[in-house]
Amino acid sequence: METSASHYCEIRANRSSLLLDWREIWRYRDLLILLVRRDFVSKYKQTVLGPLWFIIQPVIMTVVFTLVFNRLADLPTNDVPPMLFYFCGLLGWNYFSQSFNGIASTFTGHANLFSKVYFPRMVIPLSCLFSNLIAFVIQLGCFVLIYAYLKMFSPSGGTFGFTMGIFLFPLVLLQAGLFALGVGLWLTSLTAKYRDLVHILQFLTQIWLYATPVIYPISKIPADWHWLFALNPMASVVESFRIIFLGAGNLTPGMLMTSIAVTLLVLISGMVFFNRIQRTFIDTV
Amino acid sequence: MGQPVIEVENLSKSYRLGQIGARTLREEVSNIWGRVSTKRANKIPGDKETAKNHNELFWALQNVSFTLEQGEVLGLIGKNGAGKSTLLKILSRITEPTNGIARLRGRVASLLEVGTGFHPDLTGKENIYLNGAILGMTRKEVSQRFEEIVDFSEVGPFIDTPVKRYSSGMYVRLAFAVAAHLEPEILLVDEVLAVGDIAFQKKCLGKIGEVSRGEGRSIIFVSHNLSSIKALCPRVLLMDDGELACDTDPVSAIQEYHQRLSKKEQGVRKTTGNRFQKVYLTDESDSQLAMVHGDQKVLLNFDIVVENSSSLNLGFTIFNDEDIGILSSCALDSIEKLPVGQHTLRLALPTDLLPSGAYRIEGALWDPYQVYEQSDHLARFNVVTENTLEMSGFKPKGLVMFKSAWKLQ
Repeated sequence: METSASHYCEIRANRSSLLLDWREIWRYRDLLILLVRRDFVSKYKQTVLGPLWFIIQPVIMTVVFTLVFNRLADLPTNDVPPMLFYFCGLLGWNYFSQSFNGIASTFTGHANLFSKVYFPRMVIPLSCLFSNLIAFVIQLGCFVLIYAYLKMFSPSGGTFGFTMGIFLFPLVLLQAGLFALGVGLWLTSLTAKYRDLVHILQFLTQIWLYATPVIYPISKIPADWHWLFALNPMASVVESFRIIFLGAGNLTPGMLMTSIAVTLLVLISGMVFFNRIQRTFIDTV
Repeated sequence: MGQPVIEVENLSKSYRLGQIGARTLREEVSNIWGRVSTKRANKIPGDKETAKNHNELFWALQNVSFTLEQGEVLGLIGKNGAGKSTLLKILSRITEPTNGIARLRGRVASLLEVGTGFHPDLTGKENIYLNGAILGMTRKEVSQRFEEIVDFSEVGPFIDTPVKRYSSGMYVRLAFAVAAHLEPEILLVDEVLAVGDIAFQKKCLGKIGEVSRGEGRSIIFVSHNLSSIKALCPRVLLMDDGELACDTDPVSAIQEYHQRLSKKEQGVRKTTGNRFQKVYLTDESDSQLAMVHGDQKVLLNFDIVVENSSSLNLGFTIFNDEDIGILSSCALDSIEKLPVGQHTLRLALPTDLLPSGAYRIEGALWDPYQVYEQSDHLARFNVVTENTLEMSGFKPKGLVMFKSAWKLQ
């Protein structure tokens, strides 16, 4: 009877729990792992280059950014080799944008699954976060290779170097992940009601990229506008990455605090909203 | 033991009719705009109507209460839209009720579809694990049963092939094999047995029955296949228009189901002129039947009222569940005349010709000048026969079976 007692469940309208049942999500950890595996495997099955695709995208973007924004538009890169400057910015940005875009299709992409079987819906966004983490680690590996090469063989090797902040790196990554989760949960909950947002997603990602100091250093922005960047947690994440790996960047404690506060606000409100939508999402499909 | 495994109290679920289907931002905006502009301008009559429709509630489930004890197997029947699936969806936590409470004590697995979450690019093996996890099994549990699942599914040699290269039969067998090896305390099964070939269906039914008898598992089983309901479930709930119509043994529930069906289908009966009153099956001792067993002697009865016409005739055709006419007969072929008055016409039904299944009777009263009454659903009945073909899991390809005496020469 012990197992039964631990599986007691009461079904009623408007279960008012605003936050998540983490114990239940823990019980479904095997599903989480398998979903991550499925995402990862299905992405490169029947492709010639396989997992290399995880690297090709940021490498090409880095080359394009270097050509267009550095060579043509002559944007400064804080005296760091442009390749590293852009790649480092893209590391954090890609993790964020891929994750929130993936999470944004939680409801629309899994309507059929959700209408047939119950499991904690939060497993899907979490699996998305983890499978993008794998892509991130692969990209990080590629970044480290380029980094080591330039450090040893290029004359500009002395202009950059990682700082002790490297121990804080997991926390910065965590912030990027949690913020992506918050934004993604908001977007998927809104698209469950208003399908129009599917079309906006692409623009949103694009515009957000330019509003984040990925292709330019934050030092290029007049100080009067820094408050605006503080409200965008990705600005602080991308800038932190550069400080940690390249020792070049500007970040004030105030900006950091604001970005953490915004992250938590978006995350918690996103979870509450998601929880409310998921209860009856199937009725609106 | 003690507490029931499932307690359902006054469970209800309503849908707002206007909200079924996704709303778009444009609709929402035009809704708001509509409200604003109708306040300012004079209302357009049509507008009010649509606004009313938007708020209309549809009760898919109304005040359903029942309890289920450990080890019980409960059948759930009712016509389409009666609320069976809604009830199952609420119990499996796919959606929430509008009112009422359900208490579940034990691990629940619901099978509303086989192969939920199968990914075409993954191999059979990977899908077994993924599907098992989606249905609530841990990795360890799947590993323990892996061999059994593969054996049951009969796809052994292809287990490392992506399932997109499977035939549809293999796909379904693999999917069902995973489902059949779930070991929850409560199992909710929707019409999933309708897929797959008959031999495999039998195997699955057998597995479900074995599971419930063997290990004290509770099962709720939804099906349109009344004979499998009858075979598996000692207790049956009949749903009708979102309400619980009855909670009883399978034979009475199925009888009640047929009665309600024919009542609905008959609609308003004629009250004047030449007309049918009632059409029903009886056995030799005159008690009514809804289910006909193998070699039983069965009589088909037509209660009719004749008010006029000297050459009135009565004819009927029996249709099987695929809507193919099988047997027809006319009264004036053996009776000279239907006199004025109230009569019961009776004939023996050649039940030995009919394979197992559901049948309906269509009939008419007419004379050479006009048709007085014609009805598609005078009555319905089920046949359960015992012939060696069906017992070995096959469906006869012929519309009728005949058991003429075979001789070995």
